[in-house]
Amino acid sequence: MINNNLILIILNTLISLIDVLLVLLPVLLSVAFMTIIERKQLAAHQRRVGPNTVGYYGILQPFSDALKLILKETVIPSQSNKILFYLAPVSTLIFSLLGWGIIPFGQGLTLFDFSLGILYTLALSSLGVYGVLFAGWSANSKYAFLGSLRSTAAMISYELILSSAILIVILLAGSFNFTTIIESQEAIWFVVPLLPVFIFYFISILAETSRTPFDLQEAESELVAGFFTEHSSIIFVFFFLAEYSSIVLFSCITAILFFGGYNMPELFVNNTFISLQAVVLGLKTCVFCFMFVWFRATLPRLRYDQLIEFCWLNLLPVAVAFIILVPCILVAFDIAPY
Amino acid sequence: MAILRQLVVGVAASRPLATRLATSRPSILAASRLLSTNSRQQAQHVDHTNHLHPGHPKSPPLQTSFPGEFKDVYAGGPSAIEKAVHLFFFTEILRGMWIVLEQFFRPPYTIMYPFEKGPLSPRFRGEHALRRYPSGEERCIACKLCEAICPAQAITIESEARLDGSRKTTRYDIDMTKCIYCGFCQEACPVDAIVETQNQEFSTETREELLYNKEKLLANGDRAEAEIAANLHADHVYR
Amino acid sequence: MVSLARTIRSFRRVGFKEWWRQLQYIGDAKSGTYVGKDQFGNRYFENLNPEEEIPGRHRWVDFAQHDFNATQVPPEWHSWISHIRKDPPTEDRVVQNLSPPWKAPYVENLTGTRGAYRPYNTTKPKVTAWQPTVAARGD
Repeated sequence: MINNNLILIILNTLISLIDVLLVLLPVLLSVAFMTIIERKQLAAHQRRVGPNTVGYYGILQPFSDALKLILKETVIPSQSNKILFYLAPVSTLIFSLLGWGIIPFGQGLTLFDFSLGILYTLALSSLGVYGVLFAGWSANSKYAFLGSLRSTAAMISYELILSSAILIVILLAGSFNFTTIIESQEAIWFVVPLLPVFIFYFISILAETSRTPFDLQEAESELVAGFFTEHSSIIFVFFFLAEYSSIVLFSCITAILFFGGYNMPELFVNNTFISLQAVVLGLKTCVFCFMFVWFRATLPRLRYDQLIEFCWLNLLPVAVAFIILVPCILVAFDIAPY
Repeated sequence: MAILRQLVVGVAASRPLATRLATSRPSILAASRLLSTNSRQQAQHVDHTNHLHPGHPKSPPLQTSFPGEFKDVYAGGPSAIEKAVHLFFFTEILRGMWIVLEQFFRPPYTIMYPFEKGPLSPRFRGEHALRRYPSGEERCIACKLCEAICPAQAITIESEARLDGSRKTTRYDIDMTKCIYCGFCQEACPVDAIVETQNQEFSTETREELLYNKEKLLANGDRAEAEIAANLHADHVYR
Repeated sequence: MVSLARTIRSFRRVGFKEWWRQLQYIGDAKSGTYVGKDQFGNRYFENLNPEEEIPGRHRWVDFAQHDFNATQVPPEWHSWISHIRKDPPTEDRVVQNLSPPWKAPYVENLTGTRGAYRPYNTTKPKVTAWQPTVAARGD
């Protein structure tokens, strides 16, 4: 009997592991291809061709890049705190990958249908700041340290806007659960009533993932890499993966919060053996990944004081105003879902 | 202050015009007001409408305001809501993004190099070559004008009289690592012997391969004579 | 962006085999008129339609060798593909008439191989070692 139970436990664990792998591997693949998509799309916006040699139309470029980085020598500053130096990229990657655990890819198609999913996401994005801090501090380099301070300040500031925007969505949906939020958008996508909220939400996730025009912590065209200045080879890959993973993750969350997630017209839902809902969510995610790169191609970088001022003096009052306005409307017309 | 004054003048000019224009061509006015996001642009737009209708006076005499009289300086401009909407919805940024998106769908300008090449002039100054007469006799008479004019002093010439009495070079070395490709040598040459061909693909793996001697230069000329001669022919009317 | 319509159009014109070859080398589907072939078997194409090819990309070469190299184009075709001369050497009377009978066979840039050029002295050395000659003794 004990033996049977043990086997059952092991089997269950294995199945959960396979579940996790089933989510994680495609996510990592999509993150890898996000890098080539970014380069190709940026090239197209600038009327260039972009990488086109590795594989047809350059499609294998991410693997070539990864291989190159893995084969490089790992250089660690001699006076650095080695544990934190390694821990920082690992924790950043883990925190940005953990976010995928609660994403519903289709009806009931989720690793963990957490009732406080949004809080979990926000917590993870706050924890991501620690990776940045560790990386900057542990390297014992003033450039990395300054970069991490700037990064942290920007990320913490914009997290405020992000959570305010998400709070408004929560007010409309009446739940912290992603599935409930998606289901409450069956009538209409939240982007329609909440278009202004969506605008400052998108700005804040641009800053949160430190993309242009808010990427001055990295400023890859003029500064060195910011907080991961001293990280090289495979630990740099971790940061790189974490950055692009959080781009894809936030694109996905945007699709869920504002664009109805996996929702689609009833006409197509039934009688299919592949999950069309996941395809719909994927397509919506692609649109926002496109938007990320599109913004990068268009907008010049802000100055650091402009970045912080824009957050605290412009976006935050607007966010607060909406936090007051939306419940007022909900109560006044008695349309609150709870 | 200058901006403010411009605004006042612009608004004063626009007011009578705006009422007339609103009846005649509302669409233009609407379009220009949609585009405008600040007061300076609005002032320019007034000039623009004046330009469209040259029959109207450029600007009416400035009305002096009397103390106590209410004067709405913003009357002609965009409303506060309009400005707020432009500001809040980032219409300027959206217009910029639209341009970038347009470029996305256009073909790239990239020239796929070894397969396609960018245009070169017949006067392009590339790798050097020594030419021969159509009879096969080498042209160079060892006058050393090229050696003298070469600003980088890349050319070294030694000469001897041949058995038939003609003076020919025994050494004609060009240090291509020194050469600055100014083309003075081919301009100085009285017999068109030293020329710079249109070949720019002579990169080497070692530096010593760039120390050209006479045989190498003659070989260059022997291979590319048709191209060199055709280019000189294309240019002969200007020489 | 590389247009899908352009790729499909070129694919329909040149056929699968040619398209596959283009994908291996130039990495883009192109279609145009065949202009000629040089002595090495490199094929030259042209498409003067500005709707189909951006100016500057309207002439291209398909190298015969797998290990291709820009210098494999002989000078006459070089001046055509670099847009120096309007007509290809097969039609250009000027280039044909100016080709001398002693024209040397063309070789590509052989740097990095055994055939690479190595500089050498073309003059007699000015200082020569003295060759001691021994006069016969004893007479």
